[in-house]
Amino acid sequence: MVRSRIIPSLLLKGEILVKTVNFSDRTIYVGDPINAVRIFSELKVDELCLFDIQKRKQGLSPNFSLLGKIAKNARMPLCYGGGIRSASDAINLVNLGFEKISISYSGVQDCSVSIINDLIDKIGGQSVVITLDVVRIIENGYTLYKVRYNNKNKMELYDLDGVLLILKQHAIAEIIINDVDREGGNIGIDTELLEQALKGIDCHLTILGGAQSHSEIASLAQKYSPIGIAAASVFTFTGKHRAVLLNYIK
Amino acid sequence: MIGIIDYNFGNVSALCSTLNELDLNYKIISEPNDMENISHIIMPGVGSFDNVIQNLVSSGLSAYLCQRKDLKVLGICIGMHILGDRSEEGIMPGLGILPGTVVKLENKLRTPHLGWNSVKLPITSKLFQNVDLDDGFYFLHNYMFLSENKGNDIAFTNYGQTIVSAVSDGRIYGVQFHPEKSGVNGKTLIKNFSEL
Repeated sequence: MVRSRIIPSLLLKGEILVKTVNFSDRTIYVGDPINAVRIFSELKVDELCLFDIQKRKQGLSPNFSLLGKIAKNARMPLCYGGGIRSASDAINLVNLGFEKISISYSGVQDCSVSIINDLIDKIGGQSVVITLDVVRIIENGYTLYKVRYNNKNKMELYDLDGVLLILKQHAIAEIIINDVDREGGNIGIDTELLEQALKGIDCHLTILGGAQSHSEIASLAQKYSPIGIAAASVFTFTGKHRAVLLNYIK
Repeated sequence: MIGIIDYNFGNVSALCSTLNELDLNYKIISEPNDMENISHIIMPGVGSFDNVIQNLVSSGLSAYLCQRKDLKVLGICIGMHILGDRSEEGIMPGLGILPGTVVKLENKLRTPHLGWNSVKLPITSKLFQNVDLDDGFYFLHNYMFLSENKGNDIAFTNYGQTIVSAVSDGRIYGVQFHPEKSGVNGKTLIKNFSEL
């Protein structure tokens, strides 16, 4: 039977890898992306996610030259997100060696929902991934999950179940739930969020944000199989001083 | 020499990296004139059915590949689907050099079939020599190949239903998974194909 996927997630800023906390502007230098991809290839990771944290904000296209060099050094399936605004961007990335192309829900809103169908038409639904930045708000004492949309001028919050219902109409491969509040916090994966998202979709789910340890990831991967569990800090830092040491579950 | 078909689409780059690691000579093929000294062809595997076929038709490779009866062919995922007669994914006819049709996955599990899965091999096949079948391969697909001649099916994978994960009809081979992204197993399979 198909196995759960355990996925290191890397953040690109310019031509280097960084780590953020809650996706704030404060970043920690992690290393060179090509070197990191070589190391994760040696570690035989199930998949690798790579997100450029600046391209959409700056209205720029993906750095195809750098991404091509990264893909050449990858021996695992690759997913990329950041600055994709058209099907031709996605086609370029597939040609470079990326199996899955992720566009954020904010990116979808920037363009229009029709971009999802354009991507499905050109690269096939099996390669289309939508990433949702999820935050929490408290209303009448209840925690509600909201999908955050932001651009230079405004920030809006959409009901998570409503967004999942819209996405259910499209034959995409996967939804990545990016738990913004827990990103970089190492406080554990929110299984309530995971379960709510799983109920609302027919495609695959990957949850990103909050993972504490290899054992937590392994346990959830088994409990919710088949699922994708992505993490950055856990596979990037080690020890109480959080020294950079790329690692993976054996 | 191995030729990798470039239909302006599909992860040609990943296949090149694998062939480089194996120290195998290869050439990227965009049109029939590129085919000199080519004995083995690999059809890469990301894309949608009609887009891939349209590109092969306009480059002249569609007609050429149907005429050449001596080439060893390995189709990967969509590269396997287009070898068949037709697909539920598109409206254009396939190349028709591997008898069969392509249908949408129909099961109660989440689609697509995504991730690492094991492979079962009822009979031995040179293509899978020294492959760890339990470790398996990386799959990513919404559609699957149904052979007209069930005797052509050489490997199977379970995902809520039985999926034919490899077919072989003489010199024509197709695999549903992505060997170029399947680590050691994938490299072994590509090497085995090069030695057929």
